Amino acid sequence: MFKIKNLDVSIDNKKILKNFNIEIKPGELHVIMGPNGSGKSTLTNTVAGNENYSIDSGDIILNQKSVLDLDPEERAGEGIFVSFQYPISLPGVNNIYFLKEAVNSVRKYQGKEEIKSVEFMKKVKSKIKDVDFDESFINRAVNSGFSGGEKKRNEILQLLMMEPQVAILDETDSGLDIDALRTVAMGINSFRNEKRSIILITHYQRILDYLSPDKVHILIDGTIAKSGGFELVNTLEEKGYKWIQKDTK
Amino acid sequence: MLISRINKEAETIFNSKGFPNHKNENWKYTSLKKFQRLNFSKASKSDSINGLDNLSDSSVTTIDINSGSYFFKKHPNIFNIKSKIKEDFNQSLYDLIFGLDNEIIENNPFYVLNNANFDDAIIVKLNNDFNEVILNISSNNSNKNPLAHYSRIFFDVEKNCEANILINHKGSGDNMYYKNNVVIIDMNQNSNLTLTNIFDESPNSYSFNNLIVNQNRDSKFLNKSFFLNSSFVRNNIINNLNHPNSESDMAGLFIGKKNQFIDNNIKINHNSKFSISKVLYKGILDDNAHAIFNALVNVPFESDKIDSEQKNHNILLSDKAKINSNPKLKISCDDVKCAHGSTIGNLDRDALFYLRSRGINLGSAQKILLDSFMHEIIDLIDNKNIRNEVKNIIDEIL
Repeated sequence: MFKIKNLDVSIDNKKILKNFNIEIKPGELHVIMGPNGSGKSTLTNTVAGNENYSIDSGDIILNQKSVLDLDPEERAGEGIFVSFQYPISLPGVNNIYFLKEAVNSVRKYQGKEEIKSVEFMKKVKSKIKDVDFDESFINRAVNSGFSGGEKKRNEILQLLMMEPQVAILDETDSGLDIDALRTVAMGINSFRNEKRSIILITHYQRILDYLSPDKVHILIDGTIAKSGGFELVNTLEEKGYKWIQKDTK
Repeated sequence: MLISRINKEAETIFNSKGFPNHKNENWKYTSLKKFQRLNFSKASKSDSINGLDNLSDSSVTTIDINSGSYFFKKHPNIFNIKSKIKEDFNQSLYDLIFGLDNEIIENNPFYVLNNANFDDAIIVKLNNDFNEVILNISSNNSNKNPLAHYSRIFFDVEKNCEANILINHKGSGDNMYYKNNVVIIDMNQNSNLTLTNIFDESPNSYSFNNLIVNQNRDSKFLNKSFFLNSSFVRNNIINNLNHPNSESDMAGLFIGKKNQFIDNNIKINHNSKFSISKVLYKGILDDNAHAIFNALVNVPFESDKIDSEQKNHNILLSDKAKINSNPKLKISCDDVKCAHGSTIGNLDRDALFYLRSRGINLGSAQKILLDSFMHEIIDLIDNKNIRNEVKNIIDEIL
């Protein structure tokens, strides 16, 4: 079970997240929507352990254990995966080498043996089909020269290979064409099972047509202003965020 | 012309000039004070421990220069200058190998010192029947007194020849030594030469290297230099692109740790129209290491249509590591294409975070980013064995 409790986060002394709370059970998919600047990316970076974000109070808990004191790599080892809104390019770092290093690092942290090369390659070959990648992509440098859509699909490929317990996907649907959007959605669906939890941060309803979220949260000014079911998305499409902002005032 | 006379003339010149100081632009960031305080005695043949029997069984012809003495199996294309000097040694060859022009006298005092101290030199003639040579310049210095080694090699790359030279600059033991090495390469029309330098010197050494490459029409010079282990290395390259379509491509990778000092000085003279040059040097510096990248592309009047690019990229891993990077252009004509640039920075924090967010620990993430920074240069080594050797040394260092 993954839980964020009364979290206050600031950057350069500016408070971004204010008393942020969320709790997600295994098998659930929650959606966070919110206007620009509401703190969505701050949430992603904070959960991943980015040192640029300072936690003023609160806690992030996975399986009854706080992860706040853990380094980013330890958090990944515990089973947290974060897909970034703007995945970084790593020129000169081979994608397949990077993937194998990531998978084995997490396995090592979890006390498991390294994955055998044959098994790894078999898995990669099957997963790249899920994200509709050409096999040549796995031998290119990580995200280097990739289009926006390819970068997002590469994030999903990492998600499928690393098989975390909790995935936080930050605007993984932004900037995708209709086909890529479907591919990414299918990738998320294939990852989903009764043991895994997903928090999807998005601006658009489109991707949600492919996924069936269990809960929808509206993040406004660093705090969850409203939570509900899928009907919230429809209301948002109709009325925008101002309706909630008025409501919360 | 006797060697003793060359020695004496150069000694007079050196004594009149002395060692350069920071007032000389080419030595602005290089301090020789510590070096000057040391008392080196010149190594003799009895100081060398290698001999013909110790030459490796490599299928490639190997020349060992140990403590200033030359060891090689008898070969029709390799000559000792001592034996040759009395015979067919014409003036132009003499000028090529021993000539001291004003620029050398003013800026390359160690070249002059080499003239003043060398006992013998070798000439290697490369052609398509004999196009591969390994040169080991080593110092198995078991002598506790600091020794000085002087060596000089002249490569004559014949017309249409495609050749490879590997120079291993090796050192062993903790005893202090000083190497002064001059390599002169004359590339004839349409020749193609790859020169790989690997510096794997001991931690208590001074290595001064002068490389002069003269290129004729349609020749192509590829140079890859790896400064891996060293203490103090000064590397001077003068590349003369003397005829149209002569092309040079020089790449280097330097890794400095502790108090290492790596000093690269490259001058490219585009003496002809339609000549091409490219320089890419990358450096990684940690601890108190200090490196210098001084490169000058010189385009004289009437050398139009040249194409030149020089780049230097550096990563500093500690607050005390230092790099002086100066890619310079001196252009005296209008119609040229020249680019230069340099970058200095730390490892990309965002990239490190991204890797760590994927479970990769900080040390491995740093290694991955450094590998990605270096691979552009390392992958230039075509020979798999040499490439692996370089990689192994780097793995040990990092």
